[in-house]
Amino acid sequence: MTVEKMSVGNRIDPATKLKIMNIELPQWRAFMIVAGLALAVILPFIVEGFSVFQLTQVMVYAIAVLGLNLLTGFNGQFSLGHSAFYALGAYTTAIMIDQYEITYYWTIIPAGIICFVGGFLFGLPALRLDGLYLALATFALAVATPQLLRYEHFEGFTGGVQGLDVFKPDSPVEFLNADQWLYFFVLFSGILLIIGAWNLVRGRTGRAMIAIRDNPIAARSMGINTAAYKSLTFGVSGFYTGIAGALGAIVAEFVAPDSFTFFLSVWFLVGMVVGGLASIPAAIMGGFFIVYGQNFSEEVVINLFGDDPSKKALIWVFYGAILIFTVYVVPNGVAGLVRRWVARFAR
Amino acid sequence: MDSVTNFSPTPRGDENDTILEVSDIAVRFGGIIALDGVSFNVRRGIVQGLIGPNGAGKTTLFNCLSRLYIPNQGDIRFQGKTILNSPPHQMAEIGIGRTFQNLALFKTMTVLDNIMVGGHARSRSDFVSNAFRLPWVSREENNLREAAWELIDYLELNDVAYQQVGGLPFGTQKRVEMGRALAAEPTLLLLDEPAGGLNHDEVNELGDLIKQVRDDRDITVLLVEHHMSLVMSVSDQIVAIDFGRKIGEGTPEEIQQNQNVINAYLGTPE
Repeated sequence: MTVEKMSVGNRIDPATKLKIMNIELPQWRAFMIVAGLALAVILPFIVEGFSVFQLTQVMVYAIAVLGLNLLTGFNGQFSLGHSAFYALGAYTTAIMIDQYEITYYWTIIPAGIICFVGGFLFGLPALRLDGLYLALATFALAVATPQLLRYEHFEGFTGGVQGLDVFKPDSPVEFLNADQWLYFFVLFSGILLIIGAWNLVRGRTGRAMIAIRDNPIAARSMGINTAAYKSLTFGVSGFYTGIAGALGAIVAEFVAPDSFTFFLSVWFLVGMVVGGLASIPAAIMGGFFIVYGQNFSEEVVINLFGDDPSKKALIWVFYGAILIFTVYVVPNGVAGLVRRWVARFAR
Repeated sequence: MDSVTNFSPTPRGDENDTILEVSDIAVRFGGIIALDGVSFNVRRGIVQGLIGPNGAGKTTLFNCLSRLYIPNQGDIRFQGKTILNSPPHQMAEIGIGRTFQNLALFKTMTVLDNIMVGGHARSRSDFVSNAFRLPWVSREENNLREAAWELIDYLELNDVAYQQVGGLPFGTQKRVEMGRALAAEPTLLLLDEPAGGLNHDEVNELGDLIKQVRDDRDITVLLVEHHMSLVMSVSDQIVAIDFGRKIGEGTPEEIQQNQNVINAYLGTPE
């Protein structure tokens, strides 16, 4: 009776195939990745210097958003404290470069590891906290961090209120200027981190992370050590955001306590939600939104109302409107929109 | 087939081969006594029914078995070893699987992924090996996926394998939950009111499935259920509890004749 059903060897995820206007696109994902990579390689050669800097910043924030998304999107733990991990990574790199004269590329992994440990240790007590309480505890972390960095007894290390200068590395290859070199350095780091994150979430660990988010009690009954997974996820999230901070310090050529206020955590959160929860490509879109969302609002307001200083306040109103529009109309972010679109055309 | 099982001269399962020993379990919540010294054994290879009126303590007992509650007194031994010193997440690994009374699936995941989570206890890879997707991790993934597909075929879930479970009909979700539990390759499977919310046909299918699980996969089943005809038709042995105490034990026929059980369900004649 059910022979027909049972005999199907059809074990292929329909989402891997797209059909638009009768044209089958079986490899659409690979195509998108190749196109994205090609664009990423070409862009720094066709835009001006400052735009290259901005694109580098996009990638830096994308890595930070990816870190936050692993924690919140995939594992369901809230954090308003990721500016602290970003700061920890940035200062680790700045101190290593400024005070110990270590070459910049050797500082990235140590910054990540220190932030992994920091995240893991913070994740342990956070196990007892859920939802809003965890948000509050991480908020405390974000608020305390700039004060600690400013603290006079650490000044020898952190440079106090003044912060530390980080010298921009020279390009080792002739056909790239310093900005372009840094762009490719960050891009390469970002690609490695994205591959790592993708491997994590598509395998056993990722399923466990999502299972804990969806139903912690059932997850435990399936043999998942929820406490270990949650604190390790916090550590991995810290690792990503710390590396973003380390790269960000090199890109900005400077670290100071005021660059790492609570607001930075909010930008990460905004980037994550606009890009889309529990999605890896969403992190890149989030990075773009953090860097260009404000500029975009400014352009729109100037175009609509003219370049009048009294209209400046409207920029933030418009920005707010974009956010409200996003959560109402595309509740799963840009990535969710793409997913829905794929589901419609997948056959 | 039911009658063959029920009236076979020697009852299924060796009386000396017990897989689970529950001895003198008591659970108190504040002043309320949920379980008051319950003891019974489960023989290997049978379907053991656990019945009792609402509030009798069935689910409490169940939660002790999957280590969600800690009993105030008594011991639970699985394959000769106490489970009370092991954390809840080790139950799946030692071979105790379960389903939940009100579906506890991972709603945003696909059917396939839900069942693959069931294989968590049967796989080893960690954060580092996954991040680098080492060759043995790929092999482990392929094995897990193959095992999951085998269960998807077995439970006839092919058509919905790539759909999110949250949107599926209730009966289908129940089957996914069964698949997830089976993916952990349990020796003892705890089913908490699996018939709840199912229609007549689905209950019959469930009964067949429980017997298949016992016979084809050598899994001992402990079935907590309200649906009397299901319990009576699939159980080899039944334990009845009421007000936290055991009030009867035996084959379905014996339980149906047991005056304590009849009183518990129908009330004591004045």
